[in-house]
Amino acid sequence: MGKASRRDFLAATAASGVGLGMGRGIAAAPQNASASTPDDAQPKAEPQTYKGTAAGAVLAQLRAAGVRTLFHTNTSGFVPFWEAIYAAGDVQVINMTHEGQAVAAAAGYTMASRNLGFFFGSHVGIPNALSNTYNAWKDRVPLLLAFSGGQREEGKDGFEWWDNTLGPTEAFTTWRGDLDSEDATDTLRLAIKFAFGPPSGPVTLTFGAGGEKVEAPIHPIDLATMRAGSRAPAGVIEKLARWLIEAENPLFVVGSQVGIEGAHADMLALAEKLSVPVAETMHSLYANFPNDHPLFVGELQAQRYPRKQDLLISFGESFTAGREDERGLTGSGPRRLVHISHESQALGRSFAPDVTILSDLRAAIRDLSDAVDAIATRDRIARIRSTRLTQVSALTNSLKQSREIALRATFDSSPVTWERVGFELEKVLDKDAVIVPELGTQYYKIYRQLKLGGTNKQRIGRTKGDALGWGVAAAFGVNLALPDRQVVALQGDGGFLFNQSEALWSIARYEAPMLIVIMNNHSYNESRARNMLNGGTFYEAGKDFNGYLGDPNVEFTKIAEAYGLKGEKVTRAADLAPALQRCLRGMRDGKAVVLDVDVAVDGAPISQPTWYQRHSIAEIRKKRLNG
Amino acid sequence: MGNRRVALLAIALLLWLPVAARAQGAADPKIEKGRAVVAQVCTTCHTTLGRMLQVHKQTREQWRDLVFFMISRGAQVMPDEIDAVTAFLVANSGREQPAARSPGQPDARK
Repeated sequence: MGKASRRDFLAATAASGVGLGMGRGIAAAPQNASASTPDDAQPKAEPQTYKGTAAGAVLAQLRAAGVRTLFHTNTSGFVPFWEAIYAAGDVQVINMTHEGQAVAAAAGYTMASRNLGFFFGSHVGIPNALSNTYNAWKDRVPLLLAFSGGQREEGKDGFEWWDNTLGPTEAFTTWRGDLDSEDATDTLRLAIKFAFGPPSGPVTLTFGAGGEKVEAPIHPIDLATMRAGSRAPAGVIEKLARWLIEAENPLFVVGSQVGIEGAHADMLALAEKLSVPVAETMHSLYANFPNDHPLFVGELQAQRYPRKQDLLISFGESFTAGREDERGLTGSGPRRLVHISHESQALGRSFAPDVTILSDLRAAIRDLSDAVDAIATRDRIARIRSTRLTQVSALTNSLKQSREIALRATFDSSPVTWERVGFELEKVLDKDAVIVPELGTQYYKIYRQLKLGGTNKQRIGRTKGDALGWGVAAAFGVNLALPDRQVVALQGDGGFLFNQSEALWSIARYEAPMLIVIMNNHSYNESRARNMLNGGTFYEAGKDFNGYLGDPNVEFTKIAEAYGLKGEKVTRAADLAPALQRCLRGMRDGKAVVLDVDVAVDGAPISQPTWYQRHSIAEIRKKRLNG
Repeated sequence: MGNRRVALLAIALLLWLPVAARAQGAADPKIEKGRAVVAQVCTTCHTTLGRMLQVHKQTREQWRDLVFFMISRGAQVMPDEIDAVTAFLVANSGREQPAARSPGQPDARK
């Protein structure tokens, strides 16, 4: 079936009388989407027949989908699969020493490559895998997580067994299934389809396919077309275009679906067409808009201009952050709210928009751009663009000046400021470096010193799930996918202590020349600041039961050295730039470097900053141990 | 919306604070300008700002650093508003001696 041009499509559906959908549930049926169509998604070629073991059939189907990288954590029970991997000769297995870290690495790999992340390991590792499965679910990352163990008799509390094996993953998966011998490749194709959605996300599988001889169909699969497409009715788009042209103070909010679809350039072009300011939310997963662009106005909840917006269009942002997003949505007072999403379940789920539009983001952005062209003359568009660009640029220039004043005010402070770390990283990193952060809300102090988005550096993370223990392994996965790019994990000391040293083993084994920056403020500062924000008796007493991490004072460089990696420690601002140069030299030599930077804490000062509730087992024991 | 009501309450408290300051003979155009900016910028996120100002009294230098810190975090304070915001915060939640330092920050300013 040939694709209609967007202009033809607009004209045809407008003539059909399709009107503007108001309120919830205005979902268009899938039409000629530009990103993918049901026709595109079907395999073009006849399936081939695989003859061999059931486990070999699973691998053959994965390879037919272009999957060549498999993540694994130690277990027995996969001998026929190992045989198939050995025979194939073109599959790379990445061993990780913890299931949770393996899932994070697979997620990072998938977000960077847009391939399919595949993990296999023991079903006993399912609980270990859960927190990063949850993160991948929040981030809508297509993953297949296959666990050995198969099905046993229910209800007997057997060895290494619980009933409903995949039950614990139910809340964080788009589908669950059994890869057994009879129809393993059919199940696998279904699983891939569910993983790409939308909504995309992890699928968990029990891996029962073993050494049994089978004949199985193997379909070629193009992962780029697996996500089901959708496109908005032209009447809806046309009405929205009229609103956009007539709005005095519109605002765009760009969300992670723009990044998932790779629609950055389309988003930029549409914003520039009418000089619409662009905001992001606090929990944006990717840098979806260049943050050095004069139209980029920062976080939604902080918006001061336009103070009285009359139209807000969300491009793939679902506003799931709770209070912060709600403040951003309500701060400007009443105005038209439009939510565009390629996920029907996300539309209007966490707030009540005036219009919901189910569409691929790229298609919606292009359709809207064409509709604007069709409705407004070039002169009118140019006048709107020029006038508004002057206003928005004045704001963003002033904000840039303020940030520069703030940066310089504490530029040489020690411990090092977060802004200084961002400033120095921007000076030395490649323009196309990839930043993988796992930081608290101080992240913005670094982000605004880095040029991110568009043709600048790429940002992947922080995970929208916020379950700590994701960043280092995810960055490793990114490096696997993008071996020619500098990859930098920006990690808090508290977050690193959430089981992340395990990832260093794989980083060392596979010679990933990454930079891992530990922003070390010796505390869970995010929690401390929030706990102390409004005072209280424990604040007045200076007794922070949660936050202080400085005793023991972890020597992160030693952890790096234990894995055969390089470590650098910086405590003074003046030492940061030379240390970064040494780090880059180390990376050029093929070794990851852990850079431990003493950074300032912020938030409310407390009277006993290093206090913690002391408890010594050695002191309270009543019996001395022998030896 | 609950948050909107809370934000309005925070702004209302800010409107009251300068009255208290004026009662102490501290009326100042710079402080008034700062009050307006704080009401517009800070209460968007800090819905309990009145309470925070009661709890966290700081010196001028500490407040100025905090304003810088918030600008870096995304607060939309313009260059010509920095002094005014600082002045407002000092007028309403100032102290002579520095509050205790934060952990790991033995020498926050070089």
